[in-house]
Amino acid sequence: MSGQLMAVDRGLPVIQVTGVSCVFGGLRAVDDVSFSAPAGRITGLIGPNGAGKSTTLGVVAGSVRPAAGSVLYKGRDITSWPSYRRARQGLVRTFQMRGEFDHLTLLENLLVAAPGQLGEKARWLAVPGKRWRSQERALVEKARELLERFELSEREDAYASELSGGQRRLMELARALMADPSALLLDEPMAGVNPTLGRRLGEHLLELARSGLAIILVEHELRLIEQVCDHVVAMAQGRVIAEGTMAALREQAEVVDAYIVG
Amino acid sequence: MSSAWQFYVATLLVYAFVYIIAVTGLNLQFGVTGIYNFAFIMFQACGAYTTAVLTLGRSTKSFQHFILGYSLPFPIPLIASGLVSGALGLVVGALTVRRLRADYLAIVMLVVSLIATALTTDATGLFNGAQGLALIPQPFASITSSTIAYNWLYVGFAGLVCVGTCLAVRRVIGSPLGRALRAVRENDAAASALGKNVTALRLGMFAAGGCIAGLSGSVLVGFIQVWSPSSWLYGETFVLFTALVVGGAASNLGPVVGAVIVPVGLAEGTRYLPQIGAPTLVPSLEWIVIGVMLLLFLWFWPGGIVPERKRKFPQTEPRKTASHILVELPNDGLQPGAVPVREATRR
Repeated sequence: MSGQLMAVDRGLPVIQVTGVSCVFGGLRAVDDVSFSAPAGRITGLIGPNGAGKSTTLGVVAGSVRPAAGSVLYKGRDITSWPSYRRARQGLVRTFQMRGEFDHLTLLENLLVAAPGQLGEKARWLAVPGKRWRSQERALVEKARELLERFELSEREDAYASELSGGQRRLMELARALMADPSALLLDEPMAGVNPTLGRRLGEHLLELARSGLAIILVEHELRLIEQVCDHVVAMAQGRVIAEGTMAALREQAEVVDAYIVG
Repeated sequence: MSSAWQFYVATLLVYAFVYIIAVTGLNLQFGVTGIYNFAFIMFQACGAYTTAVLTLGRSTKSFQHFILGYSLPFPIPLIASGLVSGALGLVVGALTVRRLRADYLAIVMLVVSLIATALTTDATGLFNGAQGLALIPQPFASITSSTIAYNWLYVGFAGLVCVGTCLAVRRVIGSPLGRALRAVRENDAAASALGKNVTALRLGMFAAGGCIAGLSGSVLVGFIQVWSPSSWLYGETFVLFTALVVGGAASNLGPVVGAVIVPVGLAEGTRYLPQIGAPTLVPSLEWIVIGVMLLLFLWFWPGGIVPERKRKFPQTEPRKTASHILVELPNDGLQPGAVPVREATRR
């Protein structure tokens, strides 16, 4: 499935969000938001607390149902799809906090994410068979390679609850890659990460974008946004207030008022 | 062994096997998947009633009133009990797991259990109301006329069902399916975001656990030959939960250890106590002891006696060194020439 990374044309919108609104009670958390995320680009989503960034990400990931608007993924309308179905198609998210399976080992956390596991199906377990076991061995190898890549191999057998905050973020990224994604939705991957690890995380993200992934990055930490995002969508009070490169956004007084200074 | 002792030991073994089957089913639901099914005993009762009405014969020829009334030969009632209880699990699950999260589900299931008892008691045409069903036929009565021999035969049968159940559940727990279920238990939102259909997995375990509970009910009722609403009051569910927590949830051996210690050991252990106070005092104290045990274990020993095992995967081939990875992934942020940690520790 990792071949699908190659199949994605760069520049084509993998994710297209059009006119999305979310209403919680009387609160319009997201108001007519539109933007797109092409393959090979890291699209930043910034804004002050309560701007609706995470909710917007939830709409794309399928955990929040929008009151209006649509989400297109690789040209298909996925607005009504449940999140597991989106994930199976390669649209994978990480969480702002508590995204781990605490009482599973690091390696198991990654293995859970592998798509199309025969051993998850009762009909394969009911018969004595070697097929799912050999698939499992291949997945363990793949997971170990990802752990090597993120320098987590030493902690392979540690429970996720025993990892440091930074290691958890790396683990979530590795786990998302285990799912053979063509798009990644990252919700504040820098939370609780020290600057050194943060820079490395940024380099990982750039590398992933270069390999053809569409990445949407919700982040508070503007240093990471500046480091990796070619295109930034600025939100405030549920609306998109500006869009462009980070340098261009800094020029705009509205964004500066809403976020960068305040 | 005198025949009285043989009778006692055989009875004890049948009870132990029945409890092990039930706790194993609960382990699949609660231990592995994290479903708080506080109506678990209802599924055992469903299996027991199914076996009863499929073996008792026509209700019109009987002093008791009940639905269906067939005289089906073994093993049809046993299989039917599993299927009907599994189907009940699907129905109850479909109405609840999609909408409710852990603690709310627990409350609703507790209420479902109470409603089911009240319904069976008051709808006397269903399973003869509060009197319950008696003289339920023994499945292997035609094989031997000796009570002792029959009991030992039944021990063997219950043991077979028990071993079969344990092996099946063990296979699930050790498989990628078991891993997905544990992922659902740990964090359902993350599991869903990684492509797991959480609702389907929970529903499946509602059905599988219900089916196993139904089997345990069928095995039990074929032995004791009576079943009534007082056999499955909601408190019995907590006996099973206590057994699972004490033994160790999500492990393979935990349900066995827990079932032997809590329902069987505790009930038999107190049997030999001299009578203290009123005759009902000791049985009542048993409930208190079970409650205290549950609290103490949750507080001081939450993993139980046989805790969930950490799953480690064998190294299948010599690890690629990190320098090999560097060649493969030149832009992963490592400085060329940096000494990988493992290399350094090996030197």
